[in-house]
Amino acid sequence: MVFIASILFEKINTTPILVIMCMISVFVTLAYVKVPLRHDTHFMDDFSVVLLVALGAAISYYFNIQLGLGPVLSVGLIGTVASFVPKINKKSERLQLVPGSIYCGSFIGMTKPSIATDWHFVLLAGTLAGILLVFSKGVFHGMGGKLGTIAFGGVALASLFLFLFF
Amino acid sequence: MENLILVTTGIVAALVTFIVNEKLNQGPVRASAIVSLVVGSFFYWFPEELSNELTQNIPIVFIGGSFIGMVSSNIISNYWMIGISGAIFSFFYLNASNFFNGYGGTLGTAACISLLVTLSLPVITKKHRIVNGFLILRGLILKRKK
Repeated sequence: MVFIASILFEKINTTPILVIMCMISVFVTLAYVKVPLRHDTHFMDDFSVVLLVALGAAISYYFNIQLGLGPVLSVGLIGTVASFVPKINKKSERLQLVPGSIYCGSFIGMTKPSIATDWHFVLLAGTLAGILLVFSKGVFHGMGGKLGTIAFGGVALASLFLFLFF
Repeated sequence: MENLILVTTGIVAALVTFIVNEKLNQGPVRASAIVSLVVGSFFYWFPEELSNELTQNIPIVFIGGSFIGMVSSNIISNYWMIGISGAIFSFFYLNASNFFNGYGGTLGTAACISLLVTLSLPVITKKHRIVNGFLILRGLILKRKK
């Protein structure tokens, strides 16, 4: 909703876009009623996801900024490698969590260097996104864009914290 | 013309990823990552094949569109709806706010909103069964009151 509101405020003088964005807001509100919700319990094991998200963020940031591969190539490369990790041991439930968690973290590494100024920011955003990912386990299950939304939440929260406290 | 190409890219990305994800059973992460890797690599190695603006924007729109294709077929299985989501995503990309420019995850957020918009369409057009935790919760509360 913050994301839509930011567009609304910026395009306040462009009537067609404003109308479309208002319609989109109504549709999104309607969709919230329709998306199935799963009630999952959270185990301490799930918190290993936090480390995986932070790891994904750090690797992606390294590929994107330090190696200069660019955001798309970095994320594609990390996601492809991570997606094969469960094949090491198909019975391991922990390994099943690796692709989603690493892929979610890798979106944080897409952040521009003007916002993600150093490693501290990336690791903080990764940790926050990891916590969000654990708590949102039963929400929007199987929805495209869920991981990106969580990554966005992590980056936005990290920049808010840094803005408020440093 | 360039905007039209970007909208088409969003639609194609969503559809291709969905096909790789659900029809070829590769799973959402691999489907999105592989198609993005192919497109990203092409524009990384051949940066001068298209105009500078398209070379910069097509890979980003493609990876954003691919997030839509990560959707489970339990939620959406209609190609038209996925295509519409891809088009809505491109609309978001073209009109994105500068406030969140450069934030990681904005593409995913736009993809998620696009899917939510498409998901809400049957509520208006058809009388679908609504499966939702909120309604279950409401049912429980009403039962307790009785």
